[in-house]
Amino acid sequence: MSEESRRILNLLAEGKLSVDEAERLLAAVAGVSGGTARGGGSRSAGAGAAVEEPVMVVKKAPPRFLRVQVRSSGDQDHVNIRVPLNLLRAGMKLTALLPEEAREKVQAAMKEKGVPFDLDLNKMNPEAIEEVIEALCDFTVEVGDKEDQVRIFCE
Amino acid sequence: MSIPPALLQIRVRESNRRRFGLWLPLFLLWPVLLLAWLLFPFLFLLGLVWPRRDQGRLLRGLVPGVSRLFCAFRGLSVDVGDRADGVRIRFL
Repeated sequence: MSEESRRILNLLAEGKLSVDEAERLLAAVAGVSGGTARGGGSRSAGAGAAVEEPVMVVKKAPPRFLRVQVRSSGDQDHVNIRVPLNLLRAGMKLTALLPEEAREKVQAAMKEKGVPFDLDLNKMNPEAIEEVIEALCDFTVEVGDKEDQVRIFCE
Repeated sequence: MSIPPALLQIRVRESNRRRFGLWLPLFLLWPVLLLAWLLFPFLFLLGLVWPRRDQGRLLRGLVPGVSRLFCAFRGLSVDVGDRADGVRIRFL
């Protein structure tokens, strides 16, 4: 394994790279080194055919919590919320079970409060719910300066 | 489905008062959950024969849904406050 590949895999294991980014970098490294890597790091078998050493990719564990952190150094206000993603999944699945009348009442009540909520959770299947959660996992917000900070991320 | 939460910790901190903490034994709800699962087969059969399809679906999915929701609370943590006052709520 080349030094660049090892470095990329270390960064992936430390969580500094996502799986997609690591895959792209490994492909780029393999492309750049080309015949040199094959000549240096591979074993020859039979009639001179080169065999590539398999690259071990460490998969990052899926995130389990949605974190919301707000810090204000002036008043030393802080908000630190950790929501398990399973809670979001369970809540969405339970809401999808609501009968039609109950859902309409909830939507009407939320509209009265100024929150238009027209999402038809009845049509959301488990795969769609997982897609929403996955999109949420890729969603990161970091806003602020030295004194005030808002961070929303998944871990 | 993970293990349901066993305890709920509530801690309140106020500047001009003593801070106080509360531990609520959520594990006392576990027998209620067990009872719900014992009743689940009857609810499921009832949901199958219920005339309205959406209400029948609710009957069939209620016990697993509520169980899943209750178990998912484990790990929820809310900590809000400032220098003087604060509230912390944790499901353990």
